[in-house]
Amino acid sequence: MFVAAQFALPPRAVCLLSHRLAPHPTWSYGRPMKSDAAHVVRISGGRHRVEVFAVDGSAVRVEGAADVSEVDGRFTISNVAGRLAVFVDTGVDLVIGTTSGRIAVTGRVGHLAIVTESGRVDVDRASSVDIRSETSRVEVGAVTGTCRIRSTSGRVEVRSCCRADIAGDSGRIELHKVTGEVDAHSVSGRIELSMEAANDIRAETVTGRIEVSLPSGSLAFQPPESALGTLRPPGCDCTVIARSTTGRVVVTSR
Amino acid sequence: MTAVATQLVGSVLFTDLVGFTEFNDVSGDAAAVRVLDHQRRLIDGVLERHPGSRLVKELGDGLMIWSPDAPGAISSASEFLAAVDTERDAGSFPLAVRLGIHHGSVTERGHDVVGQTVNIAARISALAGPSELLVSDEVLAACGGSQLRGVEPVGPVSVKGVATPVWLHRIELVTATP
Repeated sequence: MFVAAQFALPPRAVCLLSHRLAPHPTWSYGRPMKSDAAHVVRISGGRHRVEVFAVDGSAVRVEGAADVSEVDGRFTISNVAGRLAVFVDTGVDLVIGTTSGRIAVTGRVGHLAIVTESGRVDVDRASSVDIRSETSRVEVGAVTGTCRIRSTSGRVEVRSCCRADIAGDSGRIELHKVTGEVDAHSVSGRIELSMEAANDIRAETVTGRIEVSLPSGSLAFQPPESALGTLRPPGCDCTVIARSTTGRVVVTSR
Repeated sequence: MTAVATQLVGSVLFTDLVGFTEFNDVSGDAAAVRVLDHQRRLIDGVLERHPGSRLVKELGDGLMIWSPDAPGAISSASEFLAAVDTERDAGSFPLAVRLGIHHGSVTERGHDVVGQTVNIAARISALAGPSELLVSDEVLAACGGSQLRGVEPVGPVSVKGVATPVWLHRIELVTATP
């Protein structure tokens, strides 16, 4: 009932929104309206697929059944019923919470926070991310700042990031092209780190294997258990604390 | 005669040792008991400095703590987190802790407290990572004018039996003054 929704002004419908009529929840049908002051978009979904597209100069535009409100450039999209597509301007901060259903963020966004129980999570580019899930597989492209991910059992893969703070229970954790410090924890999942620059690493598991690949020529200080907390000796590029109660630990220089 | 249930408003803090079950499995019961005893000493030391807060109960490797006010709960959580991390850095404590706080009303049941606030706090702690403290919107609101720094949005989470999503925040660095 797409056409009917456009003219019947239902409380929840396919809609386009302008921030300029704030502070009351507002609705606009028929054409997108500019929302260049939008800086945060919060999406509280349910068990449905959520797709966000960051496009240069785009107004905040919602395709799907949902309630939308806006106060001072802070948009809230809630009571989502069915598949949702949201268009935002490049660099906008996003906060997304769902129960399940795939979440995909395409384009470059600012800080991105996602909480979900299950359903795959795909992120293209962000300035920083905080993603929490129980069983989702999480794939992240490029993050220029901190990449923080918590996943109970899903696999986590990050193609490039600066600082990484990743934790899981049983899912595999793979971080590629890391340029900042790393904190990676897993209980039984394998941890694989490929460092682009020599930076401090703390990787811990109980039973999972740990593999750390450092840039060629790096000299890492790997303190033994008895010397944790001691200062890095002169001449070393970074401190690598990689420890597992029973898992194998391999630290190599490419 | 049935005792009259007392309603209280305050904050519930849940803690959980990350990977304790697997640690117990590979290290044995004796090592697990040593960790729990160590944890108990650390939390007792923290709660001595926060007279209003009290340990309600131990739940396996987790702890449930009641505080009459949100800043007190955040301070207790931060100090406990710092104490555990200090011990970990020194190599004398093998596991990290995760923490979650929710603020609301509870009903006293003897030494215990029960209610949806407790259930939500437990759910929040389960979403935290190692060495991480998560709090709800209600906690931040209850802090009022307290100095909270490093608060980052985490997102809305659904909690069974709660109609509206609970909005969570991560607290990076805390200076909470009641």
